[in-house]
Amino acid sequence: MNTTVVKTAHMTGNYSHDGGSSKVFGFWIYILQDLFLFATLFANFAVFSSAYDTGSAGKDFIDLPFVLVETFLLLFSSITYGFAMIQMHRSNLTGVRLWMAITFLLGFAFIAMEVYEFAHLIHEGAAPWTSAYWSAFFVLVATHGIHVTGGLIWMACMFIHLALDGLDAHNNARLTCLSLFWHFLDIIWIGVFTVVYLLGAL
Amino acid sequence: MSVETHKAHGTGMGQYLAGFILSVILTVLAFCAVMLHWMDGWSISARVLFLLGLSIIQMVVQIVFFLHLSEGPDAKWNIGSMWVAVLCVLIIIAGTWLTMQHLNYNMMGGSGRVSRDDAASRPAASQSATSTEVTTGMGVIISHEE
Repeated sequence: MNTTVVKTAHMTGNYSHDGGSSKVFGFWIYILQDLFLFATLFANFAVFSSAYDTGSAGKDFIDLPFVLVETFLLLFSSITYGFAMIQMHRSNLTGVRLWMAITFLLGFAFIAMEVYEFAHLIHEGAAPWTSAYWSAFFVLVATHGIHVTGGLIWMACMFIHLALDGLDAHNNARLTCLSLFWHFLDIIWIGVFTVVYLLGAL
Repeated sequence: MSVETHKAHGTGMGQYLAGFILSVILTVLAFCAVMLHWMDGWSISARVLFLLGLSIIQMVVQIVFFLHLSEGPDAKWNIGSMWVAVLCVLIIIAGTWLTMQHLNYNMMGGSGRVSRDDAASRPAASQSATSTEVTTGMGVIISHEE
């Protein structure tokens, strides 16, 4: 119990404002510029949303139950990461590891489904080089997928950091940044499944 | 003690669960509306507005319940910078969309856009492709006069 108090006092005290807090704010600025990247890709997709040229239409390939499963994988991974953050605030290292491992598995399952979907589309003749629509589709969805992969690599690195230093101020700041990143990716996915899949299936 | 520290950070289990349940409801509502054909009697713009509205509500829910921006010493900066970014994002998306709509209208065809019927009948029409299509830097444009 005492260690909890000491660590928390340390976090909100001197170190936090010099290291942890400004680090998290700086990372938040990075996330907002990442949002600009996605905004341009969404605008690009909207402009080419029916530019099929001689290729196949997006509607013929949209499998909504498949996308619903992907969506729930990401949504569950978002809340399991939230549980990891709660364990971090309770200074419970085992809990952080457990919930982050579950988050990693859910994120990995999402990426596996996306890779399968892309392979299937390219095999069926809906490849990035088929038309402007499919170029825009692959750039938008794959950019999100690459970010999720980046988040998974970051989580793998966090397990090493946690093994070396436990829940010190540095690792708490890193976990907080990763939480912003992971929740941000779920928010972007809301835009992807609505604009690409639901509006595409209308 | 741990309850106190936990409250000081304000990241309670309840907040995450509330955000999660609201997100599940909004996601299921959006998918059901499309998959179970709830919107069949609606105009296309009403459907688009409904789905975009649900997605924006869910984004706000996740920002409020998952991101916890209003905590910590940088709360004002977090939220202020977010609003600037949201404004820029709206300008990028709405500006691009409006500009390209006007361009497509004035170009009479525009950037390779084809309607669903055209796309279906394209293979059959491809023998006489050279006479009806004009290839530009933006892709193949079908003339409206045919």
